[in-house]
Amino acid sequence: MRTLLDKLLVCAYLAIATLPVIGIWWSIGQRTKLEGVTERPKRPALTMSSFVSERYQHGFVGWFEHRLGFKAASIRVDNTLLFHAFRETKPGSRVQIGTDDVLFETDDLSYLGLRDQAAERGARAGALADAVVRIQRTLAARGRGFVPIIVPSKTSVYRDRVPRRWRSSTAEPSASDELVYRALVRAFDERGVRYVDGRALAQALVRDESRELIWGPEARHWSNYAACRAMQRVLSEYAALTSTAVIPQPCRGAMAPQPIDHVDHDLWRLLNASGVEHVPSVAVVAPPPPTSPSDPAPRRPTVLLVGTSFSLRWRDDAERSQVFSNVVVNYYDRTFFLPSDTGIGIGAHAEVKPDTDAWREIVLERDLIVLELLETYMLSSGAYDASFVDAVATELAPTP
Amino acid sequence: VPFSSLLFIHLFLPVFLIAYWLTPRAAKNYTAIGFSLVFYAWGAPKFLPVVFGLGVVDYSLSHAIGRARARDGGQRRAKWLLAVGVTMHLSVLAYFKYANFFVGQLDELLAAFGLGAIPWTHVVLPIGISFITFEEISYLVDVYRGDARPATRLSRYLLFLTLFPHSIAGPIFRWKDLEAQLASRTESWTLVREGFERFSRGLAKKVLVADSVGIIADGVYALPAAQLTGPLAWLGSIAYAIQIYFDFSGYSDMAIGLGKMIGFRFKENFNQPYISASITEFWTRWHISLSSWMRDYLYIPIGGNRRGARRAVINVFVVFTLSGLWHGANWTFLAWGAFHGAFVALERVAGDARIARIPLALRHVLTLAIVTVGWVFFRAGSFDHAAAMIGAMFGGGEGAPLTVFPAILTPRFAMFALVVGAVIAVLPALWKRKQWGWIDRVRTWPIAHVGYLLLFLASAIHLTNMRITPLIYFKF
Repeated sequence: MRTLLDKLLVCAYLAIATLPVIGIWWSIGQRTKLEGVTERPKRPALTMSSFVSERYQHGFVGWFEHRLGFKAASIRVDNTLLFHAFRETKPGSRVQIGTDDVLFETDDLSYLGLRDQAAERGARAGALADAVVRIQRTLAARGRGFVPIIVPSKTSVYRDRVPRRWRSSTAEPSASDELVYRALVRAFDERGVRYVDGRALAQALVRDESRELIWGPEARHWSNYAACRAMQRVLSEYAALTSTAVIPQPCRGAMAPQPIDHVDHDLWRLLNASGVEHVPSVAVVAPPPPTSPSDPAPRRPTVLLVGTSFSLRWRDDAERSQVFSNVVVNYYDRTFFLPSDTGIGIGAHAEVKPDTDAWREIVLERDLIVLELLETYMLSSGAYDASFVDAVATELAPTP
Repeated sequence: VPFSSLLFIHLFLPVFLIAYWLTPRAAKNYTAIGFSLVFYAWGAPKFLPVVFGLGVVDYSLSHAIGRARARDGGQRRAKWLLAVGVTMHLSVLAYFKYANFFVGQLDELLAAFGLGAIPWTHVVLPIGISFITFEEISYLVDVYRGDARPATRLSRYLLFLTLFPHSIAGPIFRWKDLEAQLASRTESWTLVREGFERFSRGLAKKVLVADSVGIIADGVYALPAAQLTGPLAWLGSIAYAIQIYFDFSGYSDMAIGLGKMIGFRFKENFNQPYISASITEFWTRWHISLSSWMRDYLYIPIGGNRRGARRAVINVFVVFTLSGLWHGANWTFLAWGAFHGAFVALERVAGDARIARIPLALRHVLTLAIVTVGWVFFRAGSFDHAAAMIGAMFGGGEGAPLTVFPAILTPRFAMFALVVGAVIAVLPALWKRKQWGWIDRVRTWPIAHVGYLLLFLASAIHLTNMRITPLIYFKF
């Protein structure tokens, strides 16, 4: 009897040890989906030199751990236990759990918690504003618009849901409010920059309407509705800068249940945990009213959105609203996302270096350039905002 | 390949076990050697020839020593051969482990005189070299002393050196303890099951407790000195004390468990060190294979307590200081060894009778406090860092605002693991004195076996969701 128990237990241990490996070859236990996985390592080739230099070992471990059977299920079980027992995510996770289970991106919490670096960042505001005002005036003289927009961090809209554990100080305003955001606003105001303060707008909208309509508790980004309202302001600034009439962008927001793969459930999906309560409704924008054939053909400007995933959201909205005729996104001043009809012939995603004809065509020929300044990253060292502004300023500088 | 890695648990271990069990008895050692070499080569392919070569030289030397001892008047030659062997091993250790340190110190000295640095290429430390060197030295010394016979087969000696459960981070084995098992050993389902259970226990200690608690220790030790406060410094130090115990004793549990799976019965390396009531007792319970090695191959040869009480105290201090240096080429390790040496020497001077007058509970607390403070030298990268930590622990912290979130510094699950770890580490002090035999009886219930299985499953699941951290003792 004792031996039988021993045999059964040994077999059970071996089963636990071997099943994930068997899963690699027979694709067992790989049906559970894992959100947020971007890396797909390849199995390295074994050579004497790669083994001696240990490149093979590192590559193999990466491949093995990625392909392991039941990996997604294991991760979900572990995350579920962490969530329910401790209301935490694993160390290093991009998602953190706030009060009332409002979810935050770790970078946004880090921005709110800035201390010494806040002053460091704020010190760059003057230089950025100087460059922006020069570009704005030069392009306006050419009939083109350049409009910066400050996009809030989620922590600026859900400040009360940031737990004490995720704050280095509860003093209000925070160092990042005072030394980064307000420093930039002051710098823009002092230089007469025409810009949109999306943070002030979002906070005003939260006061007047429901917070969920502006920003979903499970979303990293503000809602389509908030993005739409911000773009209305951008268009007003564009119209004022270039004295151009543009299509009014209608924004009628409403809460509606959306499938789980909707972008406003992204942080919830990234939890990769089970049994976590979920808010099915997110803010959506009603489609624009159909235009009547008798309406005068409005001018639909071409636009370049420079920024983060918030700009990708505007691109999607722009396609829905048809306010713009051609939308290009310059993602983190690294990759250009181009519509198929741009005709530049560099593909839908491409890295286009400044000081090239393709770059000049994409950037300088736009009717409107929107520089998205996401609070979380704006004015940080080596950030996309400064690099893009520098590149444009260099192009526009009068040649001696 | 750390034992607490997915590659080891899900690929190396099952493939090895199945291959080993299917191998005919006469060839089992060769299978074990083959897998052990793969295991070692996976992490340090360049050093495999060094380990292998030293093993072959050792084997030849041991036979030469044995032959010299057997001849009349050959004692002098045997001693000479032993000296050659020991010098060779210590030279290898000195080169790989201490050369960078000494060159660095020399460079600092030269810089003080305005001279340039010595041209030097950084030497990479082969994994497990400290452990292997000590095993090789003990083998030669035991053969010389007549406490052990030279290995009859090279394969057995190579297996003794490279056997993967212990080759890279101990326990430090002795040839005379394993010789018979290397020649012949019996396996059974019960032993394999016990091996898995011991492995599960060690894996859980490492993955669920040590790695979790390590987040707190790493966070506190990464803080700038100005941000340290007394409670934070104590929290970080206690967390490290728990981390290193669960990390290293977990590794030893896994090594012992792996040995059982293939029929070996290894000696224990830990015996609940945090229940000790004195530093002397602590060293009979912590890293037993090292402390007994130091006693037999260093303390006794330099005179032990045979040359009077005063000399014994000096010997204790010297041995502990060198033991600190063995852990790493840094002044902080030396200080850690000297710190323990000083307390053991002090206990010798005070005498058992005087120490016994201190209430037992207070002795436990004092011992834990001394050990915890000692770990600061072990963990800190420099004297300045250690001084800042110890200063904060005893009221010298400035307590500037933290630049790291409390949620990152003290995650709830890590704090929970810290409490669980502390209870497991210290509670036996209570139950051993109260004779709570039921706790030991529960361990033999069938449900306990299922518990170990679940622990294995839970550890494997948790491991899948975390960054794999190497064992602290790997770097020694």
